[in-house]
Amino acid sequence: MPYSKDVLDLKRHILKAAETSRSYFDLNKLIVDVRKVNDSEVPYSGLGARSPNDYFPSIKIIGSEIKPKENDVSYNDIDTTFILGGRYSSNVISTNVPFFVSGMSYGSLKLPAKIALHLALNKLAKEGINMIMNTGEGGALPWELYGSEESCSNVSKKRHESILDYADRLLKEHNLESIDRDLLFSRLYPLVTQYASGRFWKDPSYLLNADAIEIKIGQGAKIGHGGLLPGPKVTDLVAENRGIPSYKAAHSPSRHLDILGPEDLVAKILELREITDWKSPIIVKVGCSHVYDDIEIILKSYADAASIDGFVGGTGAAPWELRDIIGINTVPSLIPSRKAIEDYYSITAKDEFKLIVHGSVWDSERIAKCIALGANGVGIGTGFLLSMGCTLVQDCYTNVCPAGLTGSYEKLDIEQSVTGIVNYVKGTLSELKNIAGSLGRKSINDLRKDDLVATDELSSMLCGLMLEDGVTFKDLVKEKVKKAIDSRNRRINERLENK
Amino acid sequence: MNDSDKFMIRRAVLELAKTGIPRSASMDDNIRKTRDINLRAINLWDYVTLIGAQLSRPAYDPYRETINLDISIGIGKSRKIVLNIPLIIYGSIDMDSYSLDSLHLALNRLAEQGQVVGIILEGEINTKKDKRKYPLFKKISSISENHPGDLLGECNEFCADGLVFEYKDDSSVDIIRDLREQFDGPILVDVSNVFPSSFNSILDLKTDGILVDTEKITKSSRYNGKHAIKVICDARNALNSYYKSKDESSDNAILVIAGDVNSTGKIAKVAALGADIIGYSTSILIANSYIYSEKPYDVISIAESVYRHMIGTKEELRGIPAALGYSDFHNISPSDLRTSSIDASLQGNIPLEGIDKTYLDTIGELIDEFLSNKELNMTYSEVRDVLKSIGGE
Repeated sequence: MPYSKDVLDLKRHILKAAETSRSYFDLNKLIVDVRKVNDSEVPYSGLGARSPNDYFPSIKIIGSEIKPKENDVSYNDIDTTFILGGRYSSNVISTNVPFFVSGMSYGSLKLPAKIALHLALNKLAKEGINMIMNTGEGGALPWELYGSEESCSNVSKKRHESILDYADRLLKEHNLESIDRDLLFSRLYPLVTQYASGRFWKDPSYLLNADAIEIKIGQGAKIGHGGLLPGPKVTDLVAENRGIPSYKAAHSPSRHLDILGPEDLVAKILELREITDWKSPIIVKVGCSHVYDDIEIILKSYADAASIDGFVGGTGAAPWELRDIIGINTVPSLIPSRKAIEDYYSITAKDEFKLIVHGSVWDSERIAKCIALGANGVGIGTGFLLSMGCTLVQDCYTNVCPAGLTGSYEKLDIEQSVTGIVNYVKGTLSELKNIAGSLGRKSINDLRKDDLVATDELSSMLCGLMLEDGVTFKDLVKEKVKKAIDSRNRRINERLENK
Repeated sequence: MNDSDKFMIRRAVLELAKTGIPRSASMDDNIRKTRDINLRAINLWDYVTLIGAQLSRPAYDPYRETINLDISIGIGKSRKIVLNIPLIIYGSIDMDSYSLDSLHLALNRLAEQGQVVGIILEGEINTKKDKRKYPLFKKISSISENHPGDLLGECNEFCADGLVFEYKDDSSVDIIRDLREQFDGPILVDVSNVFPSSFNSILDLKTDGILVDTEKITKSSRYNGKHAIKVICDARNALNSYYKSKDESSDNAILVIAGDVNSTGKIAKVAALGADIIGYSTSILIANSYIYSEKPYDVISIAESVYRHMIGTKEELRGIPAALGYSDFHNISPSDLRTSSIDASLQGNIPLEGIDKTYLDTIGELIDEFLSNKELNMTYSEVRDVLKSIGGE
């Protein structure tokens, strides 16, 4: 909701009191205090945490170009394949885009935004760009799951009729009845359904009709806190999709009630494997905190891939304070993740295990940096919202969004959003090819740490990168130590001379 | 995302969404150009985070499970005071009688609902014991040169449940000793004037807690240029090293940290660094803010605001240990902290994110490697001095 006059007045008064008393006050958090005064509730915020250092700008790709300086140079034949599955699953998803749409559920996003993403990915697929989309925690939409004859065979006739009826009501409610049903009910891109602690789905077809399953243990924006959809966003139709009461906040449990440790994860994955006849690739997603340990556990389970979500990873709603203080950034999380994988495969034969990263990745250069640091694929959420016109006011937890993405659905222009998404994907993909091509690589997967340099000591130290001037962190420390010894000895000599 | 970067990020994505063709510069190229300007506003607190519970340690659920925030003040024979929220209202902000009355009403209402929060007050206090349901700590100063008996009389007059004694110098030791003999409630000693010295002599007097005002200390010459993180870390280390040599580890004095702690996130970080109770001034600011409203003398409305804010804060506080995998707020420890700043790592001995080691430990390991590979030739004392110098000592 927009802030009432009372809230804004109070904000002004507290600010005056802070100024008058000359006490230090965190102005960024002032609205948090005011909201607590207003309703005694925990204040929420949308999108990612306020991280003063996400490391990406401190890392450069040496000698790469996102746009070739020579107009006639083309890197269209650069390989950008990303393959998911095949470690334990019999099915494999092969795409030519190493980035994809992170989980953003219906409810968190309004229907027009979800439809825009669906249509844009279909359009891209028709042009040969095959990109994965994740449903998010809140269940899938009818056309995402029941677009083919085969998919309808997984539900009873009666259930299928009720699903079609729900689809009609969804479109009517959002004044989208004129939309082409044939176009809508055809999914041409691979879909990952999320299996989260809030089990917002009603039948096994949710798992069977998807191309892969992601078990969400946590997410970067609210690590250790379950999914959250504030009451005003739980409309009748959202509630129906999730099987929960309308207009009551949906607080998913902070942990899976049946996954309390590594052995439970194995049991859960085996259960899902049985349901899907070992066909679907299974990803396990964690928020970045105890990364090494978590990846080690995932590696030893029957998962096909691990997905890590950094501190700045976005959300539709998270407790504001919790979002801003819990978690670690994406780049430093990649290093222990990669190490856990290397340690595991130092004693076991390599297989098709994949590492996917999310959080603060919004453009081609950041995707390339993640791949060079050891990721196989990258999930993007906020980037897609921006391409549809997100203004970053971060009020996604309310039912009012100036861009019409997370609220105020009548404002979103679906056609324009589809164009924005398609351009964003194509542009990013071209840039990625340019980066790899300009470095003389045939595949984006050939990017290595050696292609990167750090512009500061910390990034060099954490990522094991050479500094811009060709000095390693180790050399830097050696120099520091030598200088410190010289200065110490000089001081001792001066003291002796004075005596 | 960083506030100063976010519009550059938006512009970069919109440029792609509009044209679909490669840009001439990446978002990181543009962010780097403005970085020097952005660095001016560094606050080390923003570079410190906590690590949450995931697969390797499951989270608790604050909506469905009990999360403890209670803490008891008082060691040995001292009368015990239990706070249900680890906050004590305290700050160097002046209050008028309306603000004070509203705080009194708010704290009473909280206490009636089993949400006891303490308050530290100086000067004359008009809240009488019989109407007060929350613990009041009377702050007294040795600087007034008053006789301990007079100081105690002052406390009895206001029926204080506890004392906060401002330590001045060695002469304060005798006053504390006398107060300890005559006062059965908890005595907290504010060591901000002498920090970090005198810890041991104060703790030897069986004081119930140490109060450290980080704002005051970071302005002093001893901590010039240092951050509150360093002060809290030093205070906790001093307490730990005192009790390490004692057998009474089960009944330790508490550490109260006051200063610029004005958000729930900071409360959690301060607690992780070692504070048991946090001196919290935001409630005073909220009470004072009504001076500027249309109804400045409506004490009941002011009290309602303070009350609601505290309930919201308490709910936020319950969520944090749960997200870290604890059912008790006081289980949060330095091992839960990570930082993305070398300076914060050095000042607070906080592990860097990603490598889970402090900056100094990493340097120490590299020096060991240089020595074993004979890349450097150093004596033990040289290594020790070098680490001290890199650590900023």
